[in-house]
Amino acid sequence: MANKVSEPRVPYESVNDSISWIRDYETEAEVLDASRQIVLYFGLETFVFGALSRTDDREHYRYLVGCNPEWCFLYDLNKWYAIDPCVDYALQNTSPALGSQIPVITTGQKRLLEAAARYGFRSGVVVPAHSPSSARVGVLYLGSTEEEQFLFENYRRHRNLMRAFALELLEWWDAKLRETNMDAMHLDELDLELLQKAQELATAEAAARELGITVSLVTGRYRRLFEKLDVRDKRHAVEKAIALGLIKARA
Amino acid sequence: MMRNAGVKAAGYSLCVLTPMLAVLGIALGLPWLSPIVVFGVFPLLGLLIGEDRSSPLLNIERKPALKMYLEMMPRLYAIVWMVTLWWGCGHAARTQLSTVDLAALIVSLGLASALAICTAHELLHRRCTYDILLARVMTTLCFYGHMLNDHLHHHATVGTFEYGSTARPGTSVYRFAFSDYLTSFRNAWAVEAGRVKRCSLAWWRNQVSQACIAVAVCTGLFFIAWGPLGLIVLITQAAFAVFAFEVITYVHHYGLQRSDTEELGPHHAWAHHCWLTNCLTFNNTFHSDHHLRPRTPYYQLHAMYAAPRLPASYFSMFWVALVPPLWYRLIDPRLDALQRARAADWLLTQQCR
Repeated sequence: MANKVSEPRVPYESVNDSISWIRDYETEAEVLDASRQIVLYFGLETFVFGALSRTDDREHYRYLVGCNPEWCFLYDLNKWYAIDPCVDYALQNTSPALGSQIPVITTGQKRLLEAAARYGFRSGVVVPAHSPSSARVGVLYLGSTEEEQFLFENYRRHRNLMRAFALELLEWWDAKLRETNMDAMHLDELDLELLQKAQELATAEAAARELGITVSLVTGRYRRLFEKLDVRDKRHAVEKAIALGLIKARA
Repeated sequence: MMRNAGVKAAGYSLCVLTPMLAVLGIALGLPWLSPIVVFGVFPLLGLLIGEDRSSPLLNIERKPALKMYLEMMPRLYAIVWMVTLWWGCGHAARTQLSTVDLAALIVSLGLASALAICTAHELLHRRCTYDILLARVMTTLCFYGHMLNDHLHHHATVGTFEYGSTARPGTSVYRFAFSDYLTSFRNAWAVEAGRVKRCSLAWWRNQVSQACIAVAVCTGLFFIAWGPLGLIVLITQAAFAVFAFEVITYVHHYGLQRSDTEELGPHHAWAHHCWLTNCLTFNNTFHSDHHLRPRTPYYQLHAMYAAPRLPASYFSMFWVALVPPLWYRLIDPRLDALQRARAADWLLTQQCR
């Protein structure tokens, strides 16, 4: 096999730092900018990061797009997320894989990959991201317009960094979602601390003594929390809070 | 009377005076300088300067330098105090001090340590992990390592006599200090043991156990560095600091009972809005406001005029509390008047229904 190793345009330390700094970025634009540099270091050109969460009745997808937006439009229009073999792979695996290692079964899936090739994903790497404290699963698609044989060596060299990159993106999504949901539901830090206490199965008395507030304040806050989260008890409040990324699931 | 918020902000830097006076006293050959200034000069200066009428420093997000200065002050105190404590123990071990001079050094260090517990109190209410860690180190050096857990328990149960920290009317400070130290340990242990069991954690995750181990490690460290005399100074200054802190707790809440169903109010803590005391103790005299908003940083606390007033500043009331008959004579009539006023309020509420 003819391997082509593209020389990194930025030093390793710089990319390692860029990955570590993702958690500190506030806006999506900043994350996108840093991600483009990181993807270039991997010797690839395009990327999409998807965060998938499943609740009892439906699935939610959020995307960070580092490719031609037309591709995402087409993907959404055709509802390809329902048959995407990369999502299936990410849900059942933790290791990164080359595009050719992903099993493609149906005609629909073949059509999806043919279309992807036209939009900068002729070959690529799929990096699943799982975190025990997150209710979401992340899928990082890294794409290239070249044949897969040319990216094999880069994949072998940067496999671990790709994993770290995907995990940092997943954690950034979690933090962003937490902030957005806190603002939307008018929750404060005390509400989150109370949700954590509920998760630990603490009684109102125990929560009050561990947080330094009175029992009546605890019960009043729980009442308002149930209204804000539209649930009827602590167990459901905790489940919903985890799904919304407000608190982390206990490992 | 002081109204200027800028002067007040600058005044917080006076907090480092107490540990520095201990060092200065030794350097000038005046070992009792610190106790004389704290218990003699500060009350008089407090009277001269008058009440703190300055505005709380709200909305300082746009003044990052000021915010950083205010946030750093308790940390600065922590560093200055820890250096002083280490130096003080070393000085006692290295120098042939007379018994009186040794006693003066212990009292001077103990006073700085009492204010260190006060500072640790400010830090433990913050959300920053490092500040909480610093507070735990500070309380460990004062042999009050369980304070973090007990203090949160205190906030939940303030005004209830059975959980300690609020003295029953007629209890002397000596009886209270001893029983409250034990009760606070029991409370902290109960809270932590419950949490550890509920969350199925290992025994060493119990913060009270950690505090006990940390105290043992600190004691060993001082013994290795400064020998038996350094260790004696560490233990006695900590005993003095804990006692002083218990006196302040006694002064804060003496006799102010709250029923189980009653919501917390400004009338559950005694207040005296002395400007100088506020600067030296990080607004500890705005105690009613602190209980109502425990997470509020010290520089945003303000006076609550519905809070019952002490006749004099904390430094003066410290002395008064040490003489129980005088304390009862001064405070019990105020407590009775307060209860009568609250009973009248309650009757009025019933009539209005």
